Formats: sequence, structure tokens, C-alpha cells
Amino acid sequence: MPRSWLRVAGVAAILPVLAGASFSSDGASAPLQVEGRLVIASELPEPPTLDIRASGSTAIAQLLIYNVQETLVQLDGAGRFRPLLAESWRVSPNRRTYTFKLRRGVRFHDGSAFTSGDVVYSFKTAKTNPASPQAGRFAVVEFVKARGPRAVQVTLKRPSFRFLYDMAQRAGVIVSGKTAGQAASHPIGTGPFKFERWNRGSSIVLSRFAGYWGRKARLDAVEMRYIADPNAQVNALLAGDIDVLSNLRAPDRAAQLRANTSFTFIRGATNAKQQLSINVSKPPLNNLRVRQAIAYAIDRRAVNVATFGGFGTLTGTFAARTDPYFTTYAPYPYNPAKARDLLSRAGFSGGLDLEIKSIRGNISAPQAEVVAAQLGRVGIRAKITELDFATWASTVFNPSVANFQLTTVGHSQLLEIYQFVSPPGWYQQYRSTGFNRLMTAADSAADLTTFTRLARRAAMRLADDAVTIPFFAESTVTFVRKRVIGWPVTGRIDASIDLRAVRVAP
Amino acid sequence: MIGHIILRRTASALAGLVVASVVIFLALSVLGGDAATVVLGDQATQENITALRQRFGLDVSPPEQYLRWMKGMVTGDLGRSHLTGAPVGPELRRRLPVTLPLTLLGLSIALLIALPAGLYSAVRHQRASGALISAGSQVGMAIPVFWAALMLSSFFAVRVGWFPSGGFVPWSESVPGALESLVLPAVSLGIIQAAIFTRYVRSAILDVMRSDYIQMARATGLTWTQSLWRHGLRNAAIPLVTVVGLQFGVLLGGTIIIENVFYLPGLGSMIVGAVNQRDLIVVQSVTLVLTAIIVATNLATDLSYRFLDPRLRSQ
Repeated sequence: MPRSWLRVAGVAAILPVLAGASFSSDGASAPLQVEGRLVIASELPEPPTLDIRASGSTAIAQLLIYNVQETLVQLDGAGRFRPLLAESWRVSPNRRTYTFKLRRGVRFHDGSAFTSGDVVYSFKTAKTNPASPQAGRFAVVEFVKARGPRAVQVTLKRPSFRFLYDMAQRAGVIVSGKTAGQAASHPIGTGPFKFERWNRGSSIVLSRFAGYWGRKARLDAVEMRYIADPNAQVNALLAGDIDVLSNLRAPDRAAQLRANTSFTFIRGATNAKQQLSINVSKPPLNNLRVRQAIAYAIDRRAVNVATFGGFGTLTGTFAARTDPYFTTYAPYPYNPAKARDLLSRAGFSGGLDLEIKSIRGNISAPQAEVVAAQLGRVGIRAKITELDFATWASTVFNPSVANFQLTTVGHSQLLEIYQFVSPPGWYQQYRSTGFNRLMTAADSAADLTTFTRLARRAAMRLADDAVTIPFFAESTVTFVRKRVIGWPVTGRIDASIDLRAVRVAP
Repeated sequence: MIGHIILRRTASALAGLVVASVVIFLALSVLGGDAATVVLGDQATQENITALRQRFGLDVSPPEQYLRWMKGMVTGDLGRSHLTGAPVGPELRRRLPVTLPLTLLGLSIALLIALPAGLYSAVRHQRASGALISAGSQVGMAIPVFWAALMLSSFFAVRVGWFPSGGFVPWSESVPGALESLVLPAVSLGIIQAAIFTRYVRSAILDVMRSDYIQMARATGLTWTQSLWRHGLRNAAIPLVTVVGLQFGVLLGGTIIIENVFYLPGLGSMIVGAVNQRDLIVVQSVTLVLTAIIVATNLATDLSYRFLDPRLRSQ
């Protein structure tokens, strides 16, 4: 026999070893074997870096905020501010000065004590580091000063309602100057979980921090797995390789999972919302009638069912259920006849050619298909161009480029309507003095009621101008194994999955 | 003599790699989008982007970026990730023990199925059973790898529970565990590849069996099967080795899809992640290393002809 064939025979000899290996397994890697260890599959791609202050990645915030790294204040499920690293805070009568009284006995995971110096360091670097994506959020901050080791004073250039919200999200994360340099690969915080290791390409492991200042975490360890394929995520849950599917991205498998008695189905609130965004700067989309025609042509219910399994809450404004100004106001209910009428009044009775840019491998892509079909019914011929996320982010989503007409997209931040204020008009190039006046007034509001009223009017104004055509506010569609107790059902603030109260039944 | 040939072939392989490096660099530079905007997200100002591009070394001209990269590659420095600042080399060394065994296992499984199946369908090419295998391999070629992977995972991981649905146990932790995590991915890769190989094996054997020297052998009184075993197989091996060498590259590419479905921390998922984040230095270096592996395989294939076929040794 020729030598090459002998080599093949040699490989054949190792196959029985493989087969043996497969049967010898009795679930050594089964997630619930170790007491109090939880394995979660994230719906998001693996973060590129773990430095929450250097990247806009949602996956970092999802895992680290409240769990590993903490903020001075936090938002509870009802949207109220609660103390966290700040025991209490005081706002001056002119609403420009915030004095935070810091909690005692707080330690970072490396053992060093938390002091006012860490807060000053965190805020100053977030504001002045040229590569800080949070610099825009801190533009309103005039200066930050320590008032002794236990108090920090932040003075704003003008009163800003948004400031405290930012302090409860990633912009307000407190790190220690000593360990900030290693944050990309080993984040250190004051949270109930400490970073254990990052198995690049597969998962991140956290473990309980014994020196936590507050109520200790109930879980011994948490592993967040990054499984790119939505169907593979479902298979991992069914196979018992994970305990929690954080947010189902394969809606056609929802029925199968809901019928399975091993799992609890939890539908939670989130900041995320899906819509069709319009670049309003160029013809024909600078024409309000054309945009209104598009708004009337879109059947939100069909988009929700076809692309999200019907789990979304239909909306008419750019707001999620976690936004204080959320409203059911919807100025353009589905009405294709009206859409055709508006088009012909705008001078497009012969139809109109437009381009929708969508994001590959994202819910954006099927949404573009549905929207294009719906627009086709009123005479708008929509061509779809699918871009990968990086190209989309640098050409569509970049306000200084904004090379697009229409794009289907999800946005996930709290109080996101502020994005239209700065940079002016955001990537959609929306410039309206009326809207800006409302937002400015809302931001300097004295109380939540005034803020809510004014911000809601701004959101309604934005909706009337048909700048974004909202489809629905997302729900998180979570499946957890029955033994998992205390999974957070309230809104994910800044995408964070709050794991502090989660435990596994013995 | 043979040393001279090896030297010549190696030199041309190296020249090929240099050309490949230029192609990789150019292809990625037209990709559009850059790491700075992706990292910063929607909070970014133009000043942020400029500052970050500078930190990432993206502010210098493309030829200079290429030269910096090449200078590093020559000295064994694969560069540092724009995003994390972590060196690419150690990361690649951690991921190679996932991807390379996966590819080799996939290849072995493919050959284990394809050699007997191809041989059988060649021997029985005029019978129904041979035609059935041939038709089966046609169907197999039409199945997308990711679909096969999902089906295998749905059955063997979810229904029967013999294998994990994905993930990887490092070799250092448990060798059986590592093998176990590679079985389903390798089988997914292997069965599709087997369909392709089966057709090659069949046609290579049938081609050889139609050649003059086999007719001659038959004329001396050997049966069809005897002439196949004595003269046919070794001659059919040459085109097969060529195909296996070439398909090795295809398999290596196939691991990108498989690693995605089985969430294996291999080179495939490293490249996909880096492309999505526009961490181009990582993509460049990893792609070039993969190219080098493929070039080396083809070089080995090339040289192996001389062992299989004595006629080539004198050339």
C-alpha cells in the first residue's frame, strides 16, 4: 500500500478514541453542577475590550454595570434614583451644583479603599481624555472637586436634568486611577462581582466579591457566554449547556421554548426600540409630505410580528417604556390610501425610488425587507443595501458623514431623544428650532413632572415631523431554567443585567 | 538534487506569501469603516475619532501602515490589537490549537468516508449501489455547512445529549474534553467535505482505469479489480493528493462558519470578531498566518508527488 494511504489508516486509528471520549462524558461541563454558578448566553456579540469607559459596546455595559462596576446613583425599576456609591446627594437651589456624600467602607476589588479622589479621577478623565466616548456627556460639567475624602461636588455650566441619569449609567462608572490602565483586559470596580477571567472568543467569568460593601451576591460565579448564532443559543439552552438565554434573537423558536416546562419565560422592559430612521437633509426626504407618506405606509404590527415574534410594544414616538416621557401617541396609523394621496400631493404620483440601508446579521436586515415590501404597496420602490455593522457605523451612523436616505435600526439608550440635540440633529440631520427649544426647556426643568411634560412634547414633535418612524419598543425575551430564582424583570438600564439578587435553588 | 528542488519551491512559496500580504492589505483597506468609529459608538465626537485614530496608528498613510506591518511580521511581531492593545501573537497561539485540530479532524473524517465510498462507487459504477453513492454525494455537496452543523447539534447535543452544543474545553484542562468539544464541529465539516472528496475519488479512479496502461494490464489477464489494486490506486492518488491539499484551505475557511455555530474560540471567530470591529491589524496578521499554513500545505503536497510517482523524481 502507498505510504499516504497508511497515514490515513493511522488517523482512522484515533477515531475510536474520539468515540470513547464522547461516551465517557457525564456532563462534567454541565452548568448547574457547581453550586451557585450561573451560565448565561448573551444575545450580543463579544465585547472588543472590557474598558467600559473607552468603548460604546453594549455588551460591556450589559455585564459590568451594577455587577462589577458601580455608579454613584442607580435607577430602580420604577425609574426613581437610588443611592449606590453615594449615600445621599444634594442639589443646590440653582440646580447647578450636585454634592454627593460617599459611602464609607467601600473597597475596590484590588483591596484599595474608595475615596472622593476616585470619583474626581473618573469624571475628570471621562471629560478630558480626547478618546473618551463619554466626553460629550460631560460637556455640561464645569468642574469636579473633592470636598474631603467622603464628598464630591460637581458643578454644571447650566442646570441639566440629564446629568443625574448619566450618573446612573456608563458615563458615571467609578474606577480607580491605579487600575484604570488595565481595564481593557481586567476591569476593576467596587461591585458585588469581581472579574475572574476572559476566555477570548467564548466567555467572561465573574465571581462573588467577598469584600463587597453591601449585600453580598447570591451566586458564587457567573459565566457570560457569547454565542454568535441565535439558533445555536437556543440549542445551547435546550442541551443544558447554559442556564439563561438573555434575549431570544430567533423569534421563530419562541413557541418551542415556551412549551418546554424546564424554563421560565420572562418578558422584561428595556430601553431598546426599533425604527426606520430618515435622513431629512436632502430631497425628496426633506419634504414633510414624503416622510408622512412613508409613516402612513408602514404597518408596525406586521413588522413586529414578522421580525420580533410580536414581542414588541407598538409605539408612535422615539421612546421606550423605560423613558419617563413614554407615550402611546401615534400620529400616523397604518393607512396606505393616505400615503398614496400624500405622495401625489408631494408631486410623486408616478412613484419614487429610495434606498434603505440595513445592517447585516441584525434584526435591521429582515425589517428592511418588510418595510421595502410595505413601501412598494404605496408606490415607493425601495432598494435595500445591506452593510456590515462597521461600515454602517462609519457611514450611516456617523453624523459628519450621514450617507443614507433610510435605515432600519434599533437604538438602546435611556433618554435617547437627547441625541438629536448634540451633535445637532444627530445622524438624521434633524434641525428644528421648536424641538430644540422644548429639549432645552426640558433639560433645565426643576422637577420630573415638568421634565416629563416637556420631553414628551419634544418626542411628539419629533414624531409629527416623521423623522424616525418607530416600529415598536423592544421587550427582552428571556428564558431561564426553573432553578434560577430572582432574575431581574424590570428594565435593563443601559443594557445592564442586574445579577445582584439572582440565585440558584439548591 | 532534491534539496535544490525543495529550495526552489520554498523560495517561490515565500514570494507567493509576499504577494498575498499585499493582496490582504489592499482588500482590507477597501473594506470601509474604521475601528475608531466602531469602538466609540454613537457618543463619539469628531475629536474623539481623530484622537483614537491617532492612537491606533490609522493616521499614517497606507503604504507606511503596510511597511510597519511587514517590518513587524519579518521580526515575528504580529502587531497589537487596536482595541485592546494586546499582542496578536499569543492570542493566535491560544486559538490555533482549536482551529488546526478541528481542520485536521474534519479532513480525516472526510477522507475516512470518501475513500471507501468513492472507491465503492467507482468499482460499482455500472450498478445501482454505485450510482446511489454518487447521487448521495451530489446532495451532500448542496448542503450548507452551517445547516449541517445546526442539525447535528439539534440531534446529538439537544435530543440525545452525547456532545456539548458548543464551547471548548482547553487541551491543558482535559484532552478527552477538548476532543469531545471538537467532535460535532469536525463531523459537520467532514461530512460535507466527504461528499466533495467522494466525487473526486470516484472520477480519479475511473479516469485511471480508462488509461492505456490499465488496458495493457487487463490485456495481460488481470481482472478489472486486480488491475485497480496493483496499478490504479497509486496513480489515482496523485490527483487526489492535489485535491486534498487544495481543499485543506477550503476546510480552514469552513471552520469560520463552524466556529460561529459551535462558539469555539478559534481563529475563525477571532477573524470574524476583528473584521466586525475593524481591528484590521488582527485580521491582516491572522489571515497571513492562515495563508502561510495553506501555502506550506501546498508545498508539502507538491513535494509529495515525488514520493508517490517515481517518474517525477528525476525532474
